[in-house]
Amino acid sequence: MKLRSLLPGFVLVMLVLLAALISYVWTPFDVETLDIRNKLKTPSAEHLLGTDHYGRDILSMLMVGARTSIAVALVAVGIGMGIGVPLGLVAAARRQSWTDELIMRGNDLVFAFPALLIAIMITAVFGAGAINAIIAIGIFNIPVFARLTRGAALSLWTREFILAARVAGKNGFRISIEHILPNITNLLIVQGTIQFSLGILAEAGLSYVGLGAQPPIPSWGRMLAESQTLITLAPHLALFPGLAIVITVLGLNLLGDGLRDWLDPRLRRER
Amino acid sequence: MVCETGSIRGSDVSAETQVTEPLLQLDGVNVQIHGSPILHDISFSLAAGKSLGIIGESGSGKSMTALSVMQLLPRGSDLQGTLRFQNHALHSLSEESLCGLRGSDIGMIFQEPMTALNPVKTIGDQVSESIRLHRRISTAEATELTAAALERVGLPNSEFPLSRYPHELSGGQRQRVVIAIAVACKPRLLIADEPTTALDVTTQAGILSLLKSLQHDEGLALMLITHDLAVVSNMADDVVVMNKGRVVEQGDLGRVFRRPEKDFTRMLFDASALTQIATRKKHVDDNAVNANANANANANANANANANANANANAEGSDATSSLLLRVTDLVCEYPVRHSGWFSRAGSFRAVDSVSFDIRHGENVGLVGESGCGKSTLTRALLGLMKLHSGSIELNGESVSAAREVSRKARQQMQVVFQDPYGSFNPRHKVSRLVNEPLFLLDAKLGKRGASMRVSSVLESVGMQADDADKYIHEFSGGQRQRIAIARALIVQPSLIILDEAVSALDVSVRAQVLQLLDALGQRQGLAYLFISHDLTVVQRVSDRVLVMQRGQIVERGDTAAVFSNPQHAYTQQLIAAAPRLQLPTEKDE
Repeated sequence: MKLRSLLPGFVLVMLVLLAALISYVWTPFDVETLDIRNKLKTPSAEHLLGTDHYGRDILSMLMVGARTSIAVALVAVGIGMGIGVPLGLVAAARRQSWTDELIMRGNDLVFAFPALLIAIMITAVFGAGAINAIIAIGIFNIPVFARLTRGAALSLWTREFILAARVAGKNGFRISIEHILPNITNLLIVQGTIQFSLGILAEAGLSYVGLGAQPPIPSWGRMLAESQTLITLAPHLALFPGLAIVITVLGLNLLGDGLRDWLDPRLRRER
Repeated sequence: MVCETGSIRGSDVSAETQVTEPLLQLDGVNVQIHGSPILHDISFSLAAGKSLGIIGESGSGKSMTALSVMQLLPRGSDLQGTLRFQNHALHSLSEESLCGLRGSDIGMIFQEPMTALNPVKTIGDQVSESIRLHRRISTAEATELTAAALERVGLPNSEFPLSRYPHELSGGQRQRVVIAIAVACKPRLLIADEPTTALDVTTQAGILSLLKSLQHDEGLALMLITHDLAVVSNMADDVVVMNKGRVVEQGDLGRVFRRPEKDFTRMLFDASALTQIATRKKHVDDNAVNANANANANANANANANANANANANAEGSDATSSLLLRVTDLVCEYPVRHSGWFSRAGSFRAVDSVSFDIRHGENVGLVGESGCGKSTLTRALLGLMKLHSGSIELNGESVSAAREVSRKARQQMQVVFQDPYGSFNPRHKVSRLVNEPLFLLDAKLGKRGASMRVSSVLESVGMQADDADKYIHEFSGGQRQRIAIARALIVQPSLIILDEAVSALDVSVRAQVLQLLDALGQRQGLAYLFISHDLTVVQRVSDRVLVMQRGQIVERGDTAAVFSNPQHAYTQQLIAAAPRLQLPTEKDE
């Protein structure tokens, strides 16, 4: 009954994932070959989504670009969760101690810098590229997960079943793993999908200003940036990458919602 | 007294007919919510100036009945039958004229005083809001009426100015404000839905006597909804007993209480009076010789059972049977109070103040106190979950304190059952995993099969089924959850179980069953209980000795029978006097 959003979300996300996977073995056209004669073609039977100003096939570029977007966003969320969640759990288990204070003030420090600023800083030091975009977005994800985890865990720590676990002799580490973590997974999944879609947007944003994946690797954000000057001449150049981003973000949000409901044992039994 | 909308009160005709015609009449009321029936054929009437008690357990439909009178049923509900109030047919009135009746002619009081008031508005604003909504009067007049209403409910303006906010008041004072809102417009009918359930006994007594005097002075009719038979027996003229959305029995209070006609009513009385649990305990009515003989016999039985239990779990403890189990000496627990500035010294609040007591093997000790007396802090300290400021706790001669890790052996000896049957289980785990959690304490690991056999056997010993282990906790009712909580405590075969308000959240019939179960388990396994409760009836029934706690100190202690029959300390006397007793009206009615 509550799975209305799971299926469409799953289908949309799988669509993007499949496109990205297929691009490793086959694309309709090679994305690194320029074909100036066929530049700025509108969608046709040969080029399903048309061609750009260098005559490259837009469908092929979108497929390869999905790879970059997904990889960047996924790894960035992985960094954020992998570091942020343990930090949040530790902060909650040692609440009101100097450990808690240290972790949360560190978070505030990271939060105080906009992600773009961090990205520019990193590119200034290490040079532009997909890896540095991942690190920049990932660092920005850490405090989001740490705060979410700490807040949710703090309210759980006051519950009686935690007391019962302490009476059973379990220490803070065990309780965090066995009792706190399973009860915040749905929050983390929802936040994870939101951060994943924000990651895709951030990657597009960084590529748009030239700080993401470098040419010739196609990227949705740079496709948008390059189409900007031609928007009156060939609107499809902006339309399709834009649609790709919208579909991915929408699919991820629906999937997150659906997963949260599906993972909840109370809702699962009623199904 | 002019009401703005809808009301035709005060006309000569209705004043005359009120004598013969009931103020409120429900006739064949059926309510369905989204197609599932909630109320079946509810019919009763309430005469002006009389009081009607509606008794029932949770889910019996008593609150729904009140909401259907107010026409405030939840969305998607469908009401059939007739509801007459004075000369209005409530079921066919428009929303606009209902708004005129609600709060003006019919007042309502809710259970939870903590949430019934708006925290960001002053109490004066909240009372005058209802007055100005229903009367066309100036702000000054409304303020005057507000002050009078608060004065009337026992909140004199000199001490409780209108500019107070709800958080500055105690629970009982807040409930008085709620009552002031309900009676500010001088209604004819007051509906009180569990008005004192969330309050302490001494506060409860004050609120009940206030309701009584309001009813007497203003001649309003009272519809009192409660699960507590003792409260009803002191307040109501007539009673309606409800079960599963139906009226089981109704009539004059004396008749229903003295000669109940239906089995359900009888069961409710037995459960409330806890008559089945009289076997072991020295009850006040028992003669002393019998009681002593019983206690001795039991002490022997307990010693044997205890030896067995301890032989299984803890070889050392066996020679200590029938001797000291827990000794608490001069225990002090403090909470730091948030400091106001950066450099000011942090103060502290002393929640438990030099408390000493001991519990012997197989003994039931009751700890009575009202909210905020330090019961919960004491529980936590005993369980080794918080730092002791000073003093000591010794369990079987071993010290328990959170300063260092409490030994597994000590933890295994002492388990706990909490009050809330809903919050004390991780909703994400299956019952098997919940129940076997304390097995973590055993040095010898049982392995998967051993653990699951242990789970099955404790589940069966508390009256559940072995295959309940595969279910999630939300599939069980409150009483079943409390049984599972007991199973969780029993699985490591402890010597002492701390019952922290363990039956307070349960319906009386379920409460009686759980208490019986605890009693049986105690006899069989030689368990000692520390029974922490605010409910004097329960403590009186189940404990051998009782401790009375006030403001962190134990003010009185002694044998249960002695303390209850001859309380020494003023606070104990006050507590016992305030506790509503299940009393029948004298025979004069018949």
